[in-house]
Order: sequence, then C-alpha cells, then structure tokens
Amino acid sequence: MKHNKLDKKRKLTVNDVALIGIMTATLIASKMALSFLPNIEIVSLLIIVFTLTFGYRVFYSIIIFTCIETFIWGMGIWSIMYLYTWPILAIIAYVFRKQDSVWFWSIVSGIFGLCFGALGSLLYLFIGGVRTAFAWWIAGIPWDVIHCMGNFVLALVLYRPLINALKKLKKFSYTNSI
Amino acid sequence: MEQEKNKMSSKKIILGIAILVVLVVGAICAYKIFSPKPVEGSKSITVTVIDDKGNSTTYNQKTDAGFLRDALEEIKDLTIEGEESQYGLFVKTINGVTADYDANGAFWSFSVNGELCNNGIETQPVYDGDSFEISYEAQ
Repeated sequence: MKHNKLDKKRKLTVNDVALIGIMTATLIASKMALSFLPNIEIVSLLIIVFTLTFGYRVFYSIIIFTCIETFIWGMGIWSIMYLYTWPILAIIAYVFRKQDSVWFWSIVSGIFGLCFGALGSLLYLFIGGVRTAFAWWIAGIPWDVIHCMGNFVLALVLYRPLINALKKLKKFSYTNSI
Repeated sequence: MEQEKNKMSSKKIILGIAILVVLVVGAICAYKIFSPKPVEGSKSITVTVIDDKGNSTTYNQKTDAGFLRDALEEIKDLTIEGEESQYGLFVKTINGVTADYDANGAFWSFSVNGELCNNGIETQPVYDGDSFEISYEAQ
C-alpha cells in the first residue's frame, strides 16, 4: 500500500532522483553494450519494466537518456524521434500496467519494434512530406522486422527475471526510504 | 487470484502472436511492393561531387548498374573508399578527401534529384536521368 501511495505522489524524493539516475545509466549502458548488433536493443524492454515498476519516473529517465545519447552521438533527427517514441512505449506500458504476462509484453515489445520505423517516419511528414516519410519507412522495414524479432525474444527471455529483480529493488528502496 | 487474472489465456497468447506475425508479413509485403526497384539497361546519370573546399566536379556516366555503388565504381575518375558495414559501404573518402565524423562531425551527404537519399549506396536504385549530388558536410 505504501508503494501505491508513493506512486501517486508527483514530487520527487531523494530516492526517486537516485532511482532515475540508475535507470538512465542502465538504459545507456545496455544500449552501448548491444550497439554492435544492428537493431537489437534491450531499451524497449527496460522501459516497459521500469514503467511497470516505477511508474511516471521513467519519463525523467527517457529525457535524460535521450540527452546523453545526443551528447555521445551528436544531434540528429533521431534525437527528436527518441523524445516521442520511447514515451509512447512508456505510456502503453503504463496503460496496461496491470498486465503481468510475459507473452503480452513480448508481443507488445515486438509490435513496438516493428512500428519503430513508422513512428520515426512521422517526423519526416513535417520535414519532407508524405512521400519522404513513406519512402523512409519502407526503406527501413527490413531493420524494423529485425527490431521486432529481437524485442520479442529478449522480452520472452528477460521480462520475468527483470521484473522480479525490480520489484525487489523497489521494495528495498522505498521501505528504507529517507 | 489477481495475478491469475492478469495472465493471458492460451487463446489470447495465440491470437497475440498471430497478430504479430500478420503485422510482420504485412510489413514485408509492403517492403516488397513499395521498395525502389532498379531498372536494367543503359541509363545516363549525373554525379556531382562537392568537396570540403566547395569545389564541384560533375561526372556524366552511362551505366547498366542497378544500384548507386556499382554506378559510382564504374566512373573512371572517381574514387570512393570507406568501411564495409552491415548496412553496406559506409563512404568515408571520395577522390582522396576524407570526411572524419569523429574529428569534426564531417560526413559525405548523398542526394538524388535534390532530395536526400533514403537508402545506402548499396540499395539506392539508379534510374535513367538521375542526378546525384555527393557533398562534404561538416558540423
């Protein structure tokens, strides 16, 4: 019950700030660790499990994660894409937060991976119009399919251990709070 | 009990996976139908290279190549070098001018008929009358 009350609060505590830092560091490290594999990433799954466990706090992590990625790789169109694609996934996870099926989250993560290019192409609607956005999406479909399969398999294997570990972490962090 | 309720039934799992498979197949079909196809046969193309000093060199080339990389490699006075990656050749040096992204954010920008290329040079199709521009860009 105590955790639910904490979820409803919107004022960040010291624990929240530390947690946001840890979540962001995990996102960055995991992104870098898998960067040698094209379009295979664990960021989607982490955002899902972070949202399910820590709720709205994940949005702070997503913003900081995008900023740090931009510092590392340089400013690009993808920086703006990150600012809305990852929050969309977090919102989906938050809407279905009662769901605890590994299959459900694997399917959601897979569909998100498949739609990643389409979501990214939305930005090109404003930059180059419908034709450019469509061409950009079509050109990236083979990579979206790889993204989809990678997300599905990673969620299937890692969702349960991650969510169990995070629940323990949450219990520990917020029952020993300052 | 609550956790039980939150688990998916086998039917729902199968339905969910079926939806995922349908979406993947749909995306692959869309790619097969709408992705640019190379045109066989003799084509005339123009390639303009703008180097780091703004000097422009234009090449007029007749080619049978389906994709840009092959067409560029056919141009006698043009040299392209780069790194082979999973996305194809990542062009770093053109006519001896190297764009070093790590040093100053420089890269070679490819456009076709005035629009930035959406494909790598391995998959950029070549059509008769295409005008390509390759320009050195630095941040």
